[in-house]
Parts: sequence; structure tokens; C-alpha cells
Amino acid sequence: MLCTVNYRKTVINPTRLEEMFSRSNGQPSVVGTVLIVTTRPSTTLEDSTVTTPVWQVIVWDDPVNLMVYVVYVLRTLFGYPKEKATKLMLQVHNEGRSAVASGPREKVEMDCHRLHRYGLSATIERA
Amino acid sequence: MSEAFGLDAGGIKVQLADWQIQLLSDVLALVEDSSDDSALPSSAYPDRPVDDADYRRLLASERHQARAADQSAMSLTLEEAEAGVYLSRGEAEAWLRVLGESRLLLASRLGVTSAVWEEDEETEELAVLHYLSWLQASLVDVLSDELPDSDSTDAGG
Repeated sequence: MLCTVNYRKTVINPTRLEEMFSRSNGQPSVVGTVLIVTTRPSTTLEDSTVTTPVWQVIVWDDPVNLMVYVVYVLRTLFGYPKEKATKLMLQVHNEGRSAVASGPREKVEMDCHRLHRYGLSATIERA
Repeated sequence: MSEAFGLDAGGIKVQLADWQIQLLSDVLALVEDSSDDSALPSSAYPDRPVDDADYRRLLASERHQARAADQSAMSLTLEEAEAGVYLSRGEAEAWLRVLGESRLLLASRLGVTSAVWEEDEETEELAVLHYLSWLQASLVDVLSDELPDSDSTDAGG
């Protein structure tokens, strides 16, 4: 069962903490007002491990932008080496789309905006 | 047709014939006067209307100002291009973006929906689009020479 630990204060004595855990077989429930441990039976592994949702920027194929231009933009905006930028461009060309960057939402929104500034068709979706 | 852009000890140089300057002035006017910019990508969340509206609203002002700055940078340097003028890296990037926008706007007006147009070199209406492609590729070629082939830790696709 997964559990979430909320530390309200950080003044607990480490020795006492060890003692509490050993006494409850590693599964403490409530410890005074210092440390509160809650259990969430419905929590999934996925929910508990993903603290910051990861998003990705997709570049879409279009009939106008030149291949060399797309490679240049990817190299300039993301610092990709020529080989990687070319590979991503070819994925866009052959498969219609390619995920060119990922990260927190604020970051990928700025990435998407910069791609739009260069006239590339780009959108954002969850990774 | 000789190359329009070159790289020498002084930096990135653009030199154009009179007819090219006139044509690019007309193209620039098309970009500046274009009230319908739907041909330019601006949607980030096509399946999430509320998020998309927020995204557009938050970036609208910056987008408008940046486009105007690019057009101004190109316009000012274009005036001197017959004698030959050196562009800063920023000015060259502005030229690149304006050329990109003009190609998208022009292609939209011509009803281009597939890449087949690239093979059609006879149709008069597409001649300007082909010229702009040549010009943009020429500038990309020069700018690429100055790019460090750096690696990146960004998690891309």
C-alpha cells in the first residue's frame, strides 16, 4: 500500500523517528502533531510518482516550410546537433509529426511559442 | 542568379539587385498589411479550447510586438541592400522569420495545400514563392555555418 508523508514540522528527533517506525513495523499511522502519516488506498503508483506532469511539443508537417529551414530552427532553438535535428525533421516529413521537446508545461509553452515565431506548426500535448 | 547572402570577415552580408529589393518591399507590405494571419501558426492546444484561448491571450501582445520588430528590422536593412549591407545575427534572424511568414501567407493565398507546388516551376503565380524559398534557403545556408554543432540535454523526441 502506498502512503504519503506530510511533514508539518521538521523538529522531530531522528532517534524518536526511528523508534516510531520500528515500533509500528515501518507503517506509522499518527504521531502527535509533529509527523502525520496518511494512507491512500486508492492512490496508484502512477499518481504518486508523477509530481510534475510532463508535456511535449509536437511539430507537424506542412507543405510550405523547407526541410533545411526546419533543421535550422530546431538547431537554433534547442541546440540540437545537426544529425538529431535532421532526424526529427525527417520524422515530421515522413510520419507527419515529431515530439521535439518536453518538460514542464510552462517550458513547453515557451518552446511552442518560439516555434510559432518561426512559422512552424507546433502544438502541446501530455507526454 | 548570384547568392543574395554571404559570410565574410565583416559578418553576414546581403546584397540584392534593384528588382529584388522592389519585390521584397512588396512582400514586406503583404506581411505588414495582412489582416488575416490565420495562415500563421498560433494554436498550441487544438483539442483544449480553454487552454488554447489562454495561451493565445497571454502571448498575443508579445507575438504582435515581435512580428512588428522583425518587419522593421528587415525594412530598414532592405533599403541599403543594393549597395550591400551587413546584418547583425538578430537582423538576419528577423529576415529569416519574415521570409518564413511571407511564404506561409503567400502559399495560403495561392491555395497551396500540398508539397506538389515545389515541383511546379512553370506556373507564374508560384514564381514569387519559389524565389522566396531560394532566398530563405540561401540565408539558412549562411546562418548554419555559424551554428555550433552543440549537443543538448533537452529531452526531445
